[in-house]
Amino acid sequence: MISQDTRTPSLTSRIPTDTLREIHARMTRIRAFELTFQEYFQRIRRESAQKSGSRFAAFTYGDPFSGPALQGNLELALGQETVAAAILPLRPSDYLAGTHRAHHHALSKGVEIEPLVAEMFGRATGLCGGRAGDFNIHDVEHGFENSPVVGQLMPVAAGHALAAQLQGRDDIAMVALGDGGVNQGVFHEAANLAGLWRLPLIFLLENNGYALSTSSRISSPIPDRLYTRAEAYGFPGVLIEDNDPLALHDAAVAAIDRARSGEGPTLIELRTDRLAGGFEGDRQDYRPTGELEAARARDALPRLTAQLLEAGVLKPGEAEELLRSERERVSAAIDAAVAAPWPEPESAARGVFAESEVIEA
Amino acid sequence: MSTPATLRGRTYTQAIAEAIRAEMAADESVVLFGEDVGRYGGIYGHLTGLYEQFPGRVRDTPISEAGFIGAAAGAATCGLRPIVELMTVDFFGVAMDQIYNYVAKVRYASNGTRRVPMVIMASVGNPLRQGVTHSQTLHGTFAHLPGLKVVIPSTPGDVEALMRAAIRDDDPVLFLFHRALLGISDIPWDSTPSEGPGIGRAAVRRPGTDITIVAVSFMVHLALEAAELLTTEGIDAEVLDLRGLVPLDGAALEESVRRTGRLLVLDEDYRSFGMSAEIMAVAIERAPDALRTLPRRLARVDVPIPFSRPLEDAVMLSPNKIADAARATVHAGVE
Repeated sequence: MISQDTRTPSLTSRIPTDTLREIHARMTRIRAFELTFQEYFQRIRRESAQKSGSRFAAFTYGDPFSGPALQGNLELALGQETVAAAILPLRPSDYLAGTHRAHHHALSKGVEIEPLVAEMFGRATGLCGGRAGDFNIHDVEHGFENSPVVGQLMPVAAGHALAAQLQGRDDIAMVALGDGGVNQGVFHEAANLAGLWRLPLIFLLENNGYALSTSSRISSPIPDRLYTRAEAYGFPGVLIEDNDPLALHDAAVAAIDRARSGEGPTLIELRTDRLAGGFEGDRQDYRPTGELEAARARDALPRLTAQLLEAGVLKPGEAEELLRSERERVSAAIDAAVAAPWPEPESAARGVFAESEVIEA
Repeated sequence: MSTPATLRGRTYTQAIAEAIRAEMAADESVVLFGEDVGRYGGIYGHLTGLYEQFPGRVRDTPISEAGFIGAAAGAATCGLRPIVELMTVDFFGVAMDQIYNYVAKVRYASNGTRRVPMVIMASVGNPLRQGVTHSQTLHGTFAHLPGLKVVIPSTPGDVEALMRAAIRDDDPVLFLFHRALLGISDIPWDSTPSEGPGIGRAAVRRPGTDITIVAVSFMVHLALEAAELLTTEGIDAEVLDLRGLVPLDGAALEESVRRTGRLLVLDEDYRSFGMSAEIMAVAIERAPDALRTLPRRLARVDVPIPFSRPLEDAVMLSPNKIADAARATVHAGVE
């Protein structure tokens, strides 16, 4: 946890200063995004409760403009910002598939804050014109999408890897999953295909210990060695402990090189912590006493900040200033989204097929 | 009528391979994945020769329908045009999340920024009487969900026309080929592939004046047999082959119903909440003034398809049952 003096020179010799700063900055951006939304959610939840008893009661059909501004579920990745260290080395033309909890995936892959926020508010200016929300983001320019159906995009990511292989491109695919998703059948199907066809695919397994309320201790016979499942499909599984972004970065760079050079897939398991609920509003009473406090005490972002300060990569006050300015940007994006136009209701019937209009029977 | 020269002697099964061969030769982004589609040439021999002719583009997969259908979808969003085979449509259950929640929704949810030009082909029907899980047609299940085109060829010429159109289509197309039709050839009323209408266009297979019998696939053949039975009674039935369900050729349906004034819808798929109800509803919505008698339907009884032949026959359509239903529809309006 505490970086030692002897480690200081090896840190910057191992990972370039710019990269260290970039990892820290992106983790900070994610932290800013999630904290700002957490506060925003709590505020509108309070307001809705005062107005109509609960957030659900506040939604009315026929009057889409009443009710709280933020619709849908809110699933935050506080504590899991670490994944930025694995995703940043990807190119825009590489593909990343995120999960139901995907703000950290999206922001790490280069998805811009403003269109993402506008999408979360269902606005015409959103990434998908308000058709998808943050459960189904599509950002082709930045090679990103996600799905809330656990495991769904593992085969799809294998397809991106296969397409790159067949088309002779050296792009790769990465798919995020959790300790819940690794129990889905499609993990095993996709892993088998990836191993069989030596696909340029990386499974990034974020083990935060919980599938919503279900502990991996009661969902897997091998909760302490999920990464070993890769072995069954003929490719390496790597374990990164302690939610360590720099060790994760090293592992990701190696896996990316391996995938790009045609040597096939890798599974990287990151032991991480979910510092928020499974969703906002989750009581989290399934957690053993003291567990969340312990997780907060080992929070990866302040640890990284301390490490980089000590190595002279960050100046005193710089991290605080960065968090403040990123939070301002997110707040401004929320204000802009709330003021942005809604999609035209008539457009709802269009776009199912390539023909622009719905086909009338 | 005589068989169009281009189709003479060619079976429905051969037409599948020929259509895919033609498109693979024309466009190198077309690839084929599935179980036993490569070295074996497809379990019906319907993909014979493709593996040898297109090295690297025809790939045998493990028995992982969700895995390879999802992979094909991902590859489709990257510019390939994959054809995947779900060996029999009954296997849809293991891959349905990929089909319904991914393939069908991506274009819409992505606001048109991602598209999934892929063909999912599956065999349907039950000539071998294989029991509850190797026997269904299920087109209604797929047609119900927005985002999938559903084509259902009844002839070798349609196999070629619709498969080629499906491969070229920029949207996901479910291509359902019927096992009872695999050996057919020389269909006098077949349309030539070059002249044949594309996806979403119905075809009148037998013109008539007294009643419109609407069907797809194998049921078109039974409808034509029933129409012959009815001629002896002076009933002149028109048989309209929809050739698919999505998009639905509502205009052709309306036109035919306006011509005959009566409607009977056939469906090999289950009766409730499916094709038969939908076609009747569309006809009523489009031509309420044209119907001289109440429209009627004849569909498979809502039970899992039993194994034993007399049991299945009891829940399946036949030319006699169709003729009875058509007769009742025609005479319902006679006072």
